[in-house]
Amino acid sequence: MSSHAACGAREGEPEALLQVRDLAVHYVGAGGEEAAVLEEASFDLAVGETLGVLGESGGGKSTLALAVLGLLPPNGRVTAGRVSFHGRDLLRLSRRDLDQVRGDEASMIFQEPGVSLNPCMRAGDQVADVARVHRRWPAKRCREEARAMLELVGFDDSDGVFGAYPHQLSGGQKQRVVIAQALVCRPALLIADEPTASLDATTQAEIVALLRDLRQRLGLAMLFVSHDVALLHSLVDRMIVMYAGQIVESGSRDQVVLKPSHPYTRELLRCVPGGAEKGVGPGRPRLPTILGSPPDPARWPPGCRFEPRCPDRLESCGARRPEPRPAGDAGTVRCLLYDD
Amino acid sequence: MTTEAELDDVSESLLSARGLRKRYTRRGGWSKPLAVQALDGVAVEVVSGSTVAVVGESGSGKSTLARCLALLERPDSGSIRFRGDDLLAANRRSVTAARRRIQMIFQDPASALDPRWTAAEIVGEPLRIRGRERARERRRQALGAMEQVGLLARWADRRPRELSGGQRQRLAIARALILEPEILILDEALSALDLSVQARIVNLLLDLQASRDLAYVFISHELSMVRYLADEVVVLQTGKVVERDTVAGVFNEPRHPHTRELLAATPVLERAAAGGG
Repeated sequence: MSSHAACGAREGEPEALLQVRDLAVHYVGAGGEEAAVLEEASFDLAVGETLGVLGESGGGKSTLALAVLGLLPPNGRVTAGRVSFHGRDLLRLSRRDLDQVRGDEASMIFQEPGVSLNPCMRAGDQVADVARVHRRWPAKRCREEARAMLELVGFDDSDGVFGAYPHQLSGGQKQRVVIAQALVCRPALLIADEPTASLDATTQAEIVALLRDLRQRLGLAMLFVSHDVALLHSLVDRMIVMYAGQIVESGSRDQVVLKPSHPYTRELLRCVPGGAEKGVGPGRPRLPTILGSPPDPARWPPGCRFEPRCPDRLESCGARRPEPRPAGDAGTVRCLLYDD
Repeated sequence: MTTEAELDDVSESLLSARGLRKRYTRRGGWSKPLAVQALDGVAVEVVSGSTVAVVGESGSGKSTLARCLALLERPDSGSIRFRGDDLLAANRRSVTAARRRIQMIFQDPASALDPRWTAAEIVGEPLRIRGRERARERRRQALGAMEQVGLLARWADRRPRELSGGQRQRLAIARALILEPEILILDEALSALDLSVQARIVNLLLDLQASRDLAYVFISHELSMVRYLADEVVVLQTGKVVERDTVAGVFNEPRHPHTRELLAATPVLERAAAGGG
């Protein structure tokens, strides 16, 4: 692998739909201090592929998803890197050109569907509006497309939903409307940031099944951000794991979940309660935990960022920064244990 | 499945609810305001030092049940007995006394804590309301409760926003513990927390249960956590208990179709054969 050992990047394959290289983001705090919340993030996403982004809060997974489509909040700024999508660098597009890509060729959905919808506009009109803005079709055609899309996302009564206001819809229904909005222009890429985290288990399963189905039908590539390991494992092709603003591991979903390379991934997976009862009453064994807490983004440790909490740390880990290394089957790991 | 009649035989029960009914009028939907029977004859039995989990989809009545058991909401009919006293028929004094024994922890600690107050003030508030101790003694007890949940004494003067999500949930637990309750009602109390933080709060809950013989009513949609924490599981569907069994019974031999549906809907993490601990 070259010096640009990209986490998740597979060399020698046809060009990816989305290629992210060395992406870095800084946030500016209230006092003007800068924090490097994302660093050296590199990955590829092929046409029709689903890539999961796993991590805990503060790991940088939402920042990564937002930065790809230029949706960082005003205090966030991309400081380095390249995001090429369909061969164009999204980071160098004008606001106007970027607006043409977003919602048309690439869309994003979020955790709270209620926040993404206009409370004063009928659901169907909100879907039709996306088609109107991007396609400039006549109003009638936009409505027809919207209705067809609402059917595609699983509404049997598409007329009823079309005329409903967001407050008349349940959380799962709202998320379906948002998905219809995101897909009405048939994008090649959907970025989903915890789209099911606010839904109950059965609704979550329905939405995941819907996304799986749409991915097939529309040849959609997905970047799916979640803290839920089991959910990601059931949905994605490959996974990247983030900790303290870096991609610490990447690989096929089975490799990451069943044979994790990075100590953080391994420790995180151990925190998930196992599949069987562990005895009854308060005497049941305690869950494994990760010592300490994640470092402060304003003061990253000089060496490996997981070193202060790592059970496998070597003497050199506190001082030397690990670089991504190839690991397992087309995966990468950022850990000195794997250095030769 | 245990029927309600069989439940009546349980003698060492701490909190015992029977035939709880609660109706709300819900606005919205495509049609006119809709009356929703949130609870439709629910019975729950809570035994000292044990954990009852309540599972079900959103709208199944889980949170209404939690609020009724915590005496934050009055059911339309039914009975709630705490150590034998019927709290719905009781006078205000004994209800207030029982309320101290039954505390509730919510999903979002940030919105359950007053942002302007310090950690020690928040934890000591129930004592202030009860009005027995002076300020100095309240602070001493608050620091003691904080220590029990793993919060450092030097954080006593921090405000909620200066604490992490896990620390805030610990703070909410410390506040609930200060009146020495016998039951904690946890309504999705772990759901907003990161995996590694969840594991630590679970361990804290188990430690507290072991040292204080606390009973938990654990309301959650995270079935892997339910399976780990619960002794008994109650499955709710549209306000009715459709299955009630030991945790092993519900997970290994679910009998009601709705229970099977819930179990099937939850992705279970596959593990390597070698097992990671």
